[in-house]
Amino acid sequence: MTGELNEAVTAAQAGDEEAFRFLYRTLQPGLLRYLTALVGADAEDVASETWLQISRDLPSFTGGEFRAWTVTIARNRAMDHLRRQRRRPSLPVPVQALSELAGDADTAERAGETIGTEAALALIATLPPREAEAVLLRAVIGLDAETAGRVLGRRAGAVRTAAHRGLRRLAAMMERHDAEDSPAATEEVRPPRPRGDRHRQAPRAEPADG
Amino acid sequence: MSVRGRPDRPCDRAETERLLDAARAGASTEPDDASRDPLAGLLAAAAAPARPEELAGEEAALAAFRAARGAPAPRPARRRRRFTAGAVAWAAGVVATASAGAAFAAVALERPPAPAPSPDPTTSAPATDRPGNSAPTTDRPGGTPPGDPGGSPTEKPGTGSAAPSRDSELTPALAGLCRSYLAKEPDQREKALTRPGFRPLVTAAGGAGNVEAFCGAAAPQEPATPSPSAAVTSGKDTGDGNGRADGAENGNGADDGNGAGRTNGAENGNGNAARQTDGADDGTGAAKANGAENATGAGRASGAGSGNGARRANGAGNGAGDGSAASAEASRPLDPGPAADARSAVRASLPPAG
Repeated sequence: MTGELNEAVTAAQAGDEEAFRFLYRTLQPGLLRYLTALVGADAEDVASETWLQISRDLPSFTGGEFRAWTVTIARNRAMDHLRRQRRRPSLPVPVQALSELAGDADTAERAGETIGTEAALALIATLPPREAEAVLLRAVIGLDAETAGRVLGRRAGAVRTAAHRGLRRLAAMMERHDAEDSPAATEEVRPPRPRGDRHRQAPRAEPADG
Repeated sequence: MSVRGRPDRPCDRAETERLLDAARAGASTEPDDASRDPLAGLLAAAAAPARPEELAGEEAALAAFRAARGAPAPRPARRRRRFTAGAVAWAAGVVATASAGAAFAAVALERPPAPAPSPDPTTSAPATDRPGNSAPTTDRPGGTPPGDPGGSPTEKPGTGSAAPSRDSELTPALAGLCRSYLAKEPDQREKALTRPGFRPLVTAAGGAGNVEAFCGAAAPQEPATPSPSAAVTSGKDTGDGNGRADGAENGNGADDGNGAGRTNGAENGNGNAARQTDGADDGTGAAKANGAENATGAGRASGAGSGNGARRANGAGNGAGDGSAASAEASRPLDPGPAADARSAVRASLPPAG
């Protein structure tokens, strides 16, 4: 898949429109999902900006992981966007997703069975930003930990930790929902709450893991 | 998948990595895994293949790609826009030229019959001193105007109308050409005569060599340009047909008209228009053309062209209508000769009803 991608990049750099279309179709879903976690409803706008810059700067792409290159652009555009909105980039979780999640137990329920893409992303977006980004870069964009670390400006180990925590948190959320269904379960019965709550839960869920 | 009792909680990083890599590789590869492990299912859903709505921006992205590549698709729009702007500016230039020519003609026709009988020494003497007014200064010696009180009224109009009394055969157009010719630096005159615009003058004088004498004889009619600003302008390239055109100067648009009138719209009109078109497309080109040719007006018109075509057109219209009235005002503060002002004002205010 990476080889195919690199071929398309080379062809697109030579001006092949179909190759560029292939790149778009391959990368856009992941970028959009990642951006949705970062900027919420404005993700599509930021994605357009991203593709504008990708097409402009494509000739200057000299090699390496193209996914990482594009996602770096997307991330920068998202940060610009957040800065423009005078929002703190550290609080990128779309409020809508949060409230929906808190009020709607169906999300977690669906997550337990065959979860929809939308619901899955909404759930991931409720994670603390670092964890959400790590999970999305790893699982949705498809970067390895080293590359994701380069994108985020952090070490690979930090990305692994964040992703690990994020997954555990996600599992806990879904488990919590299961626990609601089965009264026998005693642990973490409360429905998902905005972050402050989860932060308090975190040590309980994962006391030893740094 | 899970070592612990809870099957959906990754207990170590290796398992996390495995889950993440599985999602990254594509959920479809491990359907069983996804159905069995909720977390794997969640990640698989998050990494699911593209949904159509996610690719809605495909054409926009391709358009951006084409634009970045300089492909033909986006260009037409840009060119069309530029063409529109160019067309507007061109039309404005044409209007400016036409109306300025009309203004010129109207004033020129109207002036001679209304000679103001005021004493000219005041006006003519300062005019001679004016540094910018090179043409009149040169002409003076040949002409008798200062000494001739009768001639002075004729001088006053100074501009387009050749004195009817003296050279009845000298048409306004030829007089204008003469002024243009005489306004040039001596070393440029010869070259100027090779231009098509001066051909009528050469013909009338009976040869390029005779032009100087021809114009010298005719010159006395135009010594004093009423407004100093006119003198300055004339010092440049064109002759100074500008007495009144200059007066129109209120707006810049009037200035355009000026140039057109001065260069004798009849002969050079087309050339002007062409140059203005260029200018509309590209301001610098206009400036160059300006330097090369004697059409100051063209240069200005083009400069205007790059700006707002509409406004320019307006200016031209005004210049035609009441430009001369404006000239009186323009000249007043600068012109030492109050009599001349009054006169030019009177003439200017006369309707161009010829």
